[in-house]
Amino acid sequence: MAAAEKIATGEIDRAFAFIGAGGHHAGRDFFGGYCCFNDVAIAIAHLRRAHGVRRFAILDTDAHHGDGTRDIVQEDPEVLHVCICGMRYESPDGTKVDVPAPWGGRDPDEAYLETAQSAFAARIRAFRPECTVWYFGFDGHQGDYGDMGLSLRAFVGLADFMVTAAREASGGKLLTVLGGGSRTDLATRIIPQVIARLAQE
Amino acid sequence: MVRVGIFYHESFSRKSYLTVGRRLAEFPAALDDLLTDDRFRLYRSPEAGDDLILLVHAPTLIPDVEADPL
Repeated sequence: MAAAEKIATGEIDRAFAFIGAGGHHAGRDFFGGYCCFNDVAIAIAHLRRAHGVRRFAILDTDAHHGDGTRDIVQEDPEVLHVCICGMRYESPDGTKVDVPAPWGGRDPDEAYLETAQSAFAARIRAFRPECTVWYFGFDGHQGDYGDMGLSLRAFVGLADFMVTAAREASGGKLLTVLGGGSRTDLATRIIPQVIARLAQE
Repeated sequence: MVRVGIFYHESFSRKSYLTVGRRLAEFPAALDDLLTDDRFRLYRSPEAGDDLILLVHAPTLIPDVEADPL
């Protein structure tokens, strides 16, 4: 909430929010998957109430489906929610989208980036949010619990893509919220490099 | 200059993401190099009150989470 607040007031342009527990598996009246409360949905509700910000676009690149977030925003036409996961779905109005993540192949990083860009780039341009949210998990890294064969290159590439998408669609405002991922060595190596990319013009 | 806020609380490194224990054990020290750059600023994440949680969650969720053994 503090990160969203400071973006809304203009004190900062972009944010990276660490977490103590997950958020995207927490729905309106349920929680699980080691998530307690839905940080992203609460931030959206707060920005609407306190600052009149209405339209949000979320890209969820945690390895698992953001079912809690979807539960909360499913009937909200002013939230674009695109989830790269294991499912395929698109709501009738096109604002709720699940796209299967690619698995394996010769270049998993490139395949994942292409999937994310294909799923989100055109949709966010058409949706024109006031604020862009990236739910970033590194659990899809090689050797982590959602292993999709990804390496650091995929996460840095996603950061570059999200900065570009936010610049084009929401004046550069980008809230990045940490999701899944378990290994201390990966967190220590990946997170600072992702944050570094957020400062790009 | 793009200004990037980094939001962190020391409790996240003690017990972060309940599946995996101390995945953030090396933070905030792992941010030291970044924080020498004026574009980055570290903020201490404040506590979120029940009023914020209740903006999106059912009232029953709070005691349910508090009762969870994790």
